[in-house]
Amino acid sequence: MDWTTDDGALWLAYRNGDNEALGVIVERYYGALRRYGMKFLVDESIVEDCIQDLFLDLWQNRERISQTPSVKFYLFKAIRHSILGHMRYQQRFANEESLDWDTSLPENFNAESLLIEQETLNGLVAQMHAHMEALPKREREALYLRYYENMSVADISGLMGVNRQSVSNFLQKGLTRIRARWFVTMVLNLFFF
Amino acid sequence: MDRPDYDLNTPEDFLDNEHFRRWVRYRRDDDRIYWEDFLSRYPEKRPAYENAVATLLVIYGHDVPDSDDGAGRLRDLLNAETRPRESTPLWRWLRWSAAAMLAIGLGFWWSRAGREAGDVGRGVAQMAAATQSEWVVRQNDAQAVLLVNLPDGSSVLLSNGSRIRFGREMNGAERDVYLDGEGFFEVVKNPAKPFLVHTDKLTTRVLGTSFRVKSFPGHDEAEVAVKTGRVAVTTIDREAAKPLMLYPNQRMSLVRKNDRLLRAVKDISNTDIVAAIDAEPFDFQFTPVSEAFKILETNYAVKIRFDEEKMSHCTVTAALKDEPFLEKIRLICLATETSFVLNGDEVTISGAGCP
Repeated sequence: MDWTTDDGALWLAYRNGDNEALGVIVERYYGALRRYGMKFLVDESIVEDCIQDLFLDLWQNRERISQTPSVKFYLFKAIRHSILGHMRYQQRFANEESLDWDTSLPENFNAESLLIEQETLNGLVAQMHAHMEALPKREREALYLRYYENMSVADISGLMGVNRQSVSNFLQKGLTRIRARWFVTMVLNLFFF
Repeated sequence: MDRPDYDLNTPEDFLDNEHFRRWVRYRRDDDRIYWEDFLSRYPEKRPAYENAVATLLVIYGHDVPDSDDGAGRLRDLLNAETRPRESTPLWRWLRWSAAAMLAIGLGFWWSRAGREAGDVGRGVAQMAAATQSEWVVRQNDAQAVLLVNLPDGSSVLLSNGSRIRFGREMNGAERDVYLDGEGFFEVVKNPAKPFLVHTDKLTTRVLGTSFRVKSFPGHDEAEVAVKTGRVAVTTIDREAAKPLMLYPNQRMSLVRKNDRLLRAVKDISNTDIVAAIDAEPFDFQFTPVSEAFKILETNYAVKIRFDEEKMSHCTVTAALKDEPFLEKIRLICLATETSFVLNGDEVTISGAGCP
């Protein structure tokens, strides 16, 4: 039972009472869950409390938890649910729309390490950021889950509680803006090079 | 399924390519080689590539600073949960005294920590708690030595019973690795980014060189031996003191006696050679490539696959004494106009061969 064991085996072991297995799952997903939780612009300490409660609950209810095809999906769904729950508790009325999404940029991205000139990349990122800020929050979340967390459209639809078609639409709309941007670059290239 | 690279045209094609996303996210050196090559082969795809990179950076967004050991605290909490819930009065009393001891211990630690301001955690064990998804841990329980390639291109030969932890990207101001046990390091030169090996008893700081560090937790002795270059060693009891400089063929050993760390430096003699690699010069003079590969195979415990017949006329002339493993392979490939693919501890060489 170590960091090379796959999720399914760890989950099974944990459900059979192996505390260490759940610990390995904690190590594996703590960072990703925290990062995802903080994207909703809730306080760091609240996110950490939510993650802590989630795992303590998982441990206490281990006999009633079933096997899951994707541990990652299960944990992400649970943490999203508990953050939404926390906001309901705070504001009395809260729905999906009151869930925020962080669009702030990375402070410094090293362009050379991505084989691009810094100035070029700075410009592109600024333009892309403007496009992205105009997107509804849920579309941005879908893009994050798809391209940062490598989740499938099916998992994203299950996670966000919307049907697959809307997830595809979310992703498509986001990418349409990129395509518009891409087209401009291509035309410029045709003219100047 | 990823599409073949010549099929990547629009930014969306890049975004949907897992290999590309992994590169932008982790910026690993082996991926870097691939994308450098890609961009030089298809310069017309550069605008699409740049757009896709910018889009991903915006989607990824602001990087959250690491938590100070949230995962570790949570693990401790979970561990505490496994203990039996019903407590007898004696158990309760023990619990309180344990708590008191812990408080005293913490106070003691606090005062120590205050004295050693800026102290960082040492060794893999203590730091494993702080493990984030950004950390990689490799452990060798199975074989005599295990080759570990670090994100910056440096290599480590990890001895049996040892483990090492390092950042997935190594993009901090320093290249920090944490070692429990023994490893032979060959470090990529980068004067701007010092390379630090932290262990439970000592820290070794270098800019680019090859050396061996040994410090098993729980053992009373530790050592650092230098093959090439220059290294600076500080011991944890004298953090503020000037580091001890070691030069090629010097060895420092450290013994803990009565809670004090005693240092001794001497020249390496033949009896001190731990493994062949500590002395192997990797000096090739018109050496048949098959022979060069054999030397690499025995020293790094890897398997190198190549076409013996096609490459029977290839020779190598190079002094590769302190190049990291991947750098050695890359330079040999450059010289023989071949390319290589790394898969676990297997390297596959392909190319047309030499006339």
